[in-house]
Order: sequence, then C-alpha cells, then structure tokens
Amino acid sequence: MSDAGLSTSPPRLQPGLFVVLEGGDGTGRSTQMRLLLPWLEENGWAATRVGLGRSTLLRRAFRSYRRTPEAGPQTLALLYAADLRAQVEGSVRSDLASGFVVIADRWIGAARARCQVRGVDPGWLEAILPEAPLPDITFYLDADPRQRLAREIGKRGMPDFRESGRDLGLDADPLRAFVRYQALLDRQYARIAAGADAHWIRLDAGAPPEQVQHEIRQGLLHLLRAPDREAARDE
Amino acid sequence: MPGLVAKTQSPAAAATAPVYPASARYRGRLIAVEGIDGSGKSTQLRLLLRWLQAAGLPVHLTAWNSSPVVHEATRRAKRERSLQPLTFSLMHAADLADRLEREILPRLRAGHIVLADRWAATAFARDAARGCDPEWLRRLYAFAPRPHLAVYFRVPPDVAVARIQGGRAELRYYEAGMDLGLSPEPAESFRIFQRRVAEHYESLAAPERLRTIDGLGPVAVQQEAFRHLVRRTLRRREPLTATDAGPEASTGAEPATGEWDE
Repeated sequence: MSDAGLSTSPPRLQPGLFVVLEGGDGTGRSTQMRLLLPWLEENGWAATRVGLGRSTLLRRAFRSYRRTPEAGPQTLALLYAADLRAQVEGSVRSDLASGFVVIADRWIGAARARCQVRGVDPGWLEAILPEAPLPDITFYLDADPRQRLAREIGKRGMPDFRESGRDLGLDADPLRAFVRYQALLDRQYARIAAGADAHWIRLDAGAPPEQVQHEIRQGLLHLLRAPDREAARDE
Repeated sequence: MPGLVAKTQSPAAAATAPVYPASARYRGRLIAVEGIDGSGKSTQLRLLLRWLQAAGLPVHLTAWNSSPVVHEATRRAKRERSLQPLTFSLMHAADLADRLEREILPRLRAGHIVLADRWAATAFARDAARGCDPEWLRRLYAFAPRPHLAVYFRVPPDVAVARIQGGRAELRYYEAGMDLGLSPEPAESFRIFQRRVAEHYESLAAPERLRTIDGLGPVAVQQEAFRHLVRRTLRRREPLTATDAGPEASTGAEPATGEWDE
C-alpha cells in the first residue's frame, strides 16, 4: 500500500468531482457548505456530502472520544483512518464513479493537522490514511485565529476542549488556548500547502462569506466545464 | 512513539516530538497470549492472573476489543455486517491504541504487570487471513510495543473448532469468517477460516518471538510451563521501589519494549 503523498498527482479523471473544504475551526466552512450545495444542484450537478468524522460507523466512537479527555492522539489517528476509509468504501468511490460532485467538509488535511499537532508520527499517519481518492480541488479557508475565536464563540459559546487544544495544556484560559491551538493547526496546514500542487487553493476566509463563496464557485465552474471532464462524463 | 520502523520516518518526523519516547524501557512487564479461538489461551491467562494476584503483585488484565471508546462502534458494525477488511483492521488497531494509551502504558510506566489477552500477532494473523497486506499491517501496528513475553498456545485448528462448537450454540458471523464467502455453511466456514489463521500464526512464531506452548496438554501442565516462562520474565523486572514512574533510562540492559522491526 503506497503513501498518499501530496506532491504526486496520479490521473484524476473520473466522472465525478471530489471537492474538499479545509480550514481550522471558525473559518466558516459550514456556511460555505450550506451555500454551495443548493447552487450545485440548481445548476444540474448532483452533489453529496461527506466529511471528517461523519461516517455512521464511527460516529459513536468520536462522541465517546470527545467525552474522554485522557484518550490519546494515536487512537484519534486510527479513528480518523477508519472513518475516512469507511466513507471511501461506503459512498465516495461509488458516487464519484456515478458522476456526482462529492463535497467533503474537511478530509485528510484536517486529520493530518490535528494529529501532527499532537505529535503523531507523520510517516505512520500517511501509512494508515486512505491514499485514494485524491481531491480534484481543495479550498483551504484561511483566517486569523482571533477572528475565528469571535465566530466560534458566537456559534457555540465556549470552545470545545480539544478544539482549544486544552488536551495539549497550551493555556489554562480556554480563549487564549483556542487562539494558540488554532495557530498551531495553521502551521500544520501551511506545511501541507507547501507540499501540495495547484489543486490546493487558499482563500481568505476573513472576507465576507458571499465573496468566499463566489471564489469557490469560480474554481468549481472552471473544473466542471473543463472539456476533458465533459468527455469523461460522456464515456 | 515506540516501535516505529525506521523507514517510515521522514525528516519531518524527527522534528515532531514523539508521543512516547523512542525505545522506551518501561519498568513494568507486558505479557501477552496468542492463539486461535478455542486454543485455551484465555483460561491460561486467567490462571496466571490468579497466581500473580495471590503473590501480591500489581497485575492487570486487558482483553482484545475492550476499549470503551471503540467497542460500541465495532459491535454495531459487526451486527450490521458492514465491515470491510481494512476498516475492520483499523478499528481493532484503534482499540489497542486506546487501551495502550490509557490502560496499559500508565501501568507499565508505574512498574505493574499487564497481561494481554491477544496482542498485535492476533491482528497480523486474522487480518492477513482476511486478505490485508502483511506489510501494511506491520506498519499499522508500529505504535504497539513488543511484549516482554508473548506465548502462543498451539492447537490443531480442528481441535479448537470442536472445543468452540461444543460450548457455544451459534457461531458469530465474523468469528466464522462468513464475510470471506469461504462456505455458506457457518461451521465449515469457521473451520476453513481457523485453519488459515493458524497457518499465519505458525509463520509469525519466529519473527514475533512467540514462545510456543502445546495447547493439547493438560491445563495444569500448560500452566506450569507458562509460569516457568513468566518467572524468567519477571526476574528481569525491577523491584517496585523507585518513585519515578517514567520510562527507565537507557542502561544497556535487556530491552523492555522492543521494536517491530528486526
């Protein structure tokens, strides 16, 4: 089984389109998802939704993990690996083969960032994470962690225990811990971006949501209307 | 992280602080039993536990697939018969990782004895029998320290199958290897699957340094042989005097937690 190396880009042509939204907490991913799905369907592209931690198989395990502050990072890495593989085998592969646009609300990037911030060995992580399918395009929502804190608190009040990195003992104060932890995640994302290719698009998530959405749609239109994709779909 | 094979380490890995110190030497002792279903290993481990408890030693027993974080998900997936081999494999690894991180390593660091009913060789044998790539399995379990003593209870698969069928009304779906389509008949599928797993165990004995005990002998005779091996393993365990609960410093003595690479 080979590594899912970021720098290698095997042929991506499949009838469907695999779109990934990545970014730390409070970058407005769910807003973007909410705006994107109806737009795709209005334009005649059937879309399905997946995401890190969203397999029915592992849902209970993640809930239990969240409630267990002493649970460790290697367990998390293996739960993510099982969760992603269950979704690949359960729906992603077949949906892409059927020509759907599959949108992931976080995927391997977030699993990498969260585990590596906690000291999980990157080589081991690559060996256990599914190596396929690779995203056709990844939109990385980037925003200042302090700005994200405001958004996160507006949404769910106090930041989650691990989303504020309190398991890492970064700061006794949850708000300061959130900002520090999110900055650490950003650093991991920056490393991923450095090894990524042209299919990794950084977007300024500090901009108004409509503008971010516009850029995502432009990027998708470009791909969806590419002649070789039309040809692949017609086969 | 202990036991990560060198070739999986990228330059970036060196820059990341490992979760567990590399080549950590824990003061406690990890003792595992391995073997196919019906080999009698759990009975032997229970007798060992009683003996160690009676001797007043700090001892703890941990069983395969018992992590409270992972267990419920695995149970449901098995019930729905929806598990693909690789996902199945990852969930078992998550079970071991959770028990290792919260249940096993703290005790080993504190100098206790941990008895494990099944360890990584179980995954190597069963998952390989399900068609997982052995090399991938080895990398997957690179996080698990090698036990100080791992004992393989060897029984002919047909004997083990007869033992299980004598004591249990119905074979479970995955236990019988029904997911592999070996036979539409559960008992026959179970026999074929157990034979496959047994073959894998036999080939694992040497590379995994499994000590073999004949599982056909009388229970008391097997237990005597087991205790003999355990006595030797415990002789190398440091007395419980130091207050430091961290991994031992490197002393060049017998390695406590080895690595999966040879």
